[in-house]
Amino acid sequence: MKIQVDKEIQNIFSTFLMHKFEEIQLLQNSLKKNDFQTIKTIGHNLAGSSKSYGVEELGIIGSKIEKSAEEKDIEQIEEYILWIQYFLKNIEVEFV
Amino acid sequence: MTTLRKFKVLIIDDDPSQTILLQKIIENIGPTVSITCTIEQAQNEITHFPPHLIILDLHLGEENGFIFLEKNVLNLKKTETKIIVLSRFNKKSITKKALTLGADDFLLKPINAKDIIQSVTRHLKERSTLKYSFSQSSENATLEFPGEITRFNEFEIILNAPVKLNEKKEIVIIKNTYFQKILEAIHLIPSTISYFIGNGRYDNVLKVTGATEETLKDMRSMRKTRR
Repeated sequence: MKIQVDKEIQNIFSTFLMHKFEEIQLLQNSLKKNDFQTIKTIGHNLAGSSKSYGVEELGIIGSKIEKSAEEKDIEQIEEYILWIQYFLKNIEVEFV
Repeated sequence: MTTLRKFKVLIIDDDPSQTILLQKIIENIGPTVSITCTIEQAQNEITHFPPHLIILDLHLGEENGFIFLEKNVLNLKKTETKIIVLSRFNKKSITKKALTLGADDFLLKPINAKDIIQSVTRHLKERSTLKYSFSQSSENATLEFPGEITRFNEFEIILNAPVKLNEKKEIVIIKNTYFQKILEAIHLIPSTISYFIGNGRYDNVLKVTGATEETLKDMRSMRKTRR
């Protein structure tokens, strides 16, 4: 899975990815506690910041997580978490 | 770019990915950046280290950037602090509310480096450095200026000064040889009426309050003596 990222932000991109792994952990913990408010906030932030970094795919999933949190759709949220994990493990970044 | 180095920018946003990107973009053009994630932290920061510009995300977890604006905008305007609001929601009602509450600019997320640089640069250049020095509570400011009492009666004093007094906040005349005793016994509140008389000077009308009958009598007799 190849994505292109602006080389201007190359030195902070690894921190961005690290935050995403932390957010997966937080999403999983929040889901266990049915804390949909926290899930909604993470989805909202994921949608906003991922697109700012040029990672459109994560941004779209962030919006979907936000909506699923409003609907308290646990199964759907679980699926999105798996998708993010898969995406982050298989991502190939090219700085342009 | 170097001219912006003297400025301080405060980012209020609970998303670390967003703040690290904003910090990088802004520090690249000069200003120093500090970051807070909650309204409480932000209020503490603006009290102790007042910024020249604030970037405020409207969505702060369970909190809301509008609350920050409502609570702080008056004090921030006094210090000419500029406020740029960020939001993911492209709704006219949200933009209008933010601008009505005192935001200077409204930018949509996802953030775009070019938009951020343009907005930050424009707003920092529009403002000068701080004109007031605030106490730690950020509620009191002290401004000392030379002035001259040109006319007076028991109701009003005309203060000629290089300052236009717009707010009805008590004025303390620190030293005046002729009126000293009387000035210690009265309070002076600007009436907000002031006349520009040229050369950068204003005649400000100060209302006399809190005077006892005896002080008023003294003022009347001094007025007669002065005639």
